[in-house]
Amino acid sequence: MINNERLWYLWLSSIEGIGAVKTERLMEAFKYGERIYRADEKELMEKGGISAKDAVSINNSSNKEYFKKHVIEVLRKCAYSEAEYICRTDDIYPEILKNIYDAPFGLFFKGRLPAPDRPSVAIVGARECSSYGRAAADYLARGLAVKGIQIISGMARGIDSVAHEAALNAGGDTFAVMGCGIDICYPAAEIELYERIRINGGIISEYPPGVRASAVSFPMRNRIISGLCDVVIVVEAREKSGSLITADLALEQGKEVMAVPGRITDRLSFGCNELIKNGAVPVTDISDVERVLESLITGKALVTREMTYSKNKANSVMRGEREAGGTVMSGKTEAGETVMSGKSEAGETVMSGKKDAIGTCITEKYITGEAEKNKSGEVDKNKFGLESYEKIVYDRLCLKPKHVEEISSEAGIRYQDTKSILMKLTLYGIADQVARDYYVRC
Amino acid sequence: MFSKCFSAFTDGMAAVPAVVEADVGNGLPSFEMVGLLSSEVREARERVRIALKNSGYFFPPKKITINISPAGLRKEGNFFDLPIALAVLCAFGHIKPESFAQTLIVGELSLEGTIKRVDGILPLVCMAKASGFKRCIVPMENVNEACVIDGIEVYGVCGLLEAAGFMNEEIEILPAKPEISERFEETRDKYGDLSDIRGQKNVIRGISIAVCGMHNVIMLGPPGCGKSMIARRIPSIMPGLTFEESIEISEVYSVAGLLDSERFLITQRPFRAPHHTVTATALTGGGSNPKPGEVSLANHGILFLDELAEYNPAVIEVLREPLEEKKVTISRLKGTYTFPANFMLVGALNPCKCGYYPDRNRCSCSQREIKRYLGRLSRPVTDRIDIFLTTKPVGIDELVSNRSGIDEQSPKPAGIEKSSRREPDDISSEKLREITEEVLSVQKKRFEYEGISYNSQMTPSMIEKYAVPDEKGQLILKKAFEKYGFSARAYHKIIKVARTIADMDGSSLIKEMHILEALSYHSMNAMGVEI
Ligand SMILES: [Zn+2]
Repeated sequence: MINNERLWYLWLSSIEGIGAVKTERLMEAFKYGERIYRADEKELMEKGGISAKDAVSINNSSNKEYFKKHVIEVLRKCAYSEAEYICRTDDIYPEILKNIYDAPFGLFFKGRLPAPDRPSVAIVGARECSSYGRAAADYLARGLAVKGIQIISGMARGIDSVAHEAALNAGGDTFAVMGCGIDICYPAAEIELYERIRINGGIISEYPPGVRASAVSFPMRNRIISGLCDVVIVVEAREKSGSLITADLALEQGKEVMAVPGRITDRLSFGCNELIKNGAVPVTDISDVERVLESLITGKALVTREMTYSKNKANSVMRGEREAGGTVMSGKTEAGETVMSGKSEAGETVMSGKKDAIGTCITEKYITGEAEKNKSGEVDKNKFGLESYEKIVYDRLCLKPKHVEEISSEAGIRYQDTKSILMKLTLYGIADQVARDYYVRC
Repeated sequence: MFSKCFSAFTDGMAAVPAVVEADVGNGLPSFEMVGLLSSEVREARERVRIALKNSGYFFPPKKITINISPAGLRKEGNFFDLPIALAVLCAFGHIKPESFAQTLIVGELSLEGTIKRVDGILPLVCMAKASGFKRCIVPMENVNEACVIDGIEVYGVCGLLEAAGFMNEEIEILPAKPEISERFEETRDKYGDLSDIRGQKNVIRGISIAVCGMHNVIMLGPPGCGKSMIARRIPSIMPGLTFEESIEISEVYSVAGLLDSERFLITQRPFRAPHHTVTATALTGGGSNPKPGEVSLANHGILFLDELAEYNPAVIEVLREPLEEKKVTISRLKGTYTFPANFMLVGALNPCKCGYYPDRNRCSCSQREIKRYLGRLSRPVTDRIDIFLTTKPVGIDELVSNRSGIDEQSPKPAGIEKSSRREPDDISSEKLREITEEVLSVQKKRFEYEGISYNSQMTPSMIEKYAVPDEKGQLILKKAFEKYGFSARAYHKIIKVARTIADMDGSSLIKEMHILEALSYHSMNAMGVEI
């Protein structure tokens, strides 16, 4: 049976001109929803402190027909599309969302809501993104999801979808905040993704079933995205784009904003680079996000899903860097060599730590691939075989997509051989072709 | 009096011998023509009568009947004016009947009695030689074209009087002698050189593979990155034409009416680049009297379709048959016509509507628009493309151009180097052509008894016979199939390309690296994100 109070919230929020702030003021003043329903205009204005215009529209909505259409009918539709409705008074209403200005009074959702005891990261960015943006979103969402961090985004085309998809593929939880009615999949072509998110996370919206997306609804949706997470990562954003609005909202809400830096000539990176200039934390690595999360969150367990050892690794990475920092500082007064050695040591620790933590599953994949080969009677352990060259080529790969030609000339290996080796690395899942002839490491 | 002479006409690409009979008898004066003639042949009556008159021949009022056999075949074209005129002159006693023996006569008459060129002379002369004729009398304008065939005397005539005089041995004409060898010499180096292209190593490597196995290829890239420049230079890395190939090509051009006394023999590899507004008929040939289309004119050469997505999908669809069968068959009520169409298809394509994807600084097409744009390529045609290439954006090129010198001294992976005999960094057309020639000769030998000449033509059973990867290769292939879920068709495409790459490497075995490189040219999704 539905909590009675929810009906009144739903009714209030459906009235034009009555937003979350006014709803809250009214509820505080009247205590019970039904009293608002029964109050006349004068009482509403005096007690609730709202304008005459709003009072009139509330009064005009205080009738059975309106109530039936905007409350009973909506709840019926919710039940039909297996969506749930909760409001601020409910226990499961996300605590984190309550703290933001203009928090929605009610929320519709399918599946689950983000778990409050686990960190959440929003990954947002341009719809028409580049392969670089795709690769970055994929890398971050995957890497964070593996560590049990919940990925939140808006299910738009481009960066949003990539982030959801990567989180799902990594077996993580992901949540989509919609700018339209909870029962509408927008964009419609993403229905498969919509269903996967519903099953492995949740679809969230403040709009009741049947509401179409509009120009206003997307910025409104953005405040929920930033509101639900601990950190917002902007992957690619043009100047003055929607992703920057999300970043602004996040800052207003006191959330940490991080941005993926890009080349200064790429228009799609203007927004991110601008954010970094204005103080956003640049993210080039999973551990950057972890570091920020750790500094932000004390109550939440950073690692829930993965084996505990990776947390230790992550810590050791941080310690290593801290140590390095210290040495450098002191190195100023001491001999320069110390600085150098200190740095390199720390660097190695960072590298190996990262490799172990992130690369575990990947290297395992590769090793099992090799093992398969051996099992099938592969005896060609030719020391001049491809293997050593695979390593050379792999070392040339980075997160920025590189063209085969570039890799070939850097590695000093014939063009077609480089191409073959990259294809092999791709097949074994340790490299990826993000666009034709452009490769990144996984 | 009765007389007869020999002529011929073309029916599609086929040359058909014909006999022209003339009878002059008593009765009401008339000029009748029979023998299943099309209107253009029937009109010869007026041309012949007036041409004879204007040449100074007296025409007594008699009943003249012309019959052209075989009566069962419909005759088209302008071949019969001259034989009809000569047969009539013979029937009136102006020409000795013996002179027609073993002589094939074709030509169109003008009203004043001069002889004009006909289309398709080359197949006619070929047929004449094969059927045992000793000499051909052809319009002077056609004589260069006709005389390239060895073993038959070809005489060019300019006017009716000259022709009659020659038949009566009153005028001496020397048989025309061809200057073919010069022609073949001249055409070298006319295509430009692939070394003119900078910074598209990937494309040139792919093109080289494509030519070596006659694989069809699609190039994907932004406008102005040199796609058509590369395409135009493809013939430069193909082996020179043999005389037989040259004749085969010239026959098609002859039938299409594209030869003249200046350009009487095609000695260059054809490079046909029909505009995207081309009609299906112009592409594959057709018409009520079927003429060869672009695909046949590209026989033994390149058919280049620029802006592939701009073509009408229905037009692209008709490429299916020639791509599969290497010929075009056109059915008409009166019969079936076959034109050769053994070409290599080279397509060029922008990656999206604006052309700049994946350069997001310039392209703001949505993923869906890009998909739709590439989706315009018809599946049946992309199924027959073995190699997909992407040009490199010019911007990135500039960034790495200062490093290009490294390649020359860079070490080659041992083990790989052992089997590869050639320096691949050298991309001059001449070097690449040498590779092509060698690889083609390997294939010729391999398929000696199979009735094909190129790796790209292998049937599944031939693939099993000639293109089995070694153990490592099979393993990697299996891996790729697990990862990408290829179809059987995709498997065959990959193997065919791998076979060619192995041939280029001088390896009889298809090794892992050959398979891997072949995989990198294979593409379902042309942008390669899902390879
Ligand atoms: Zn575009």
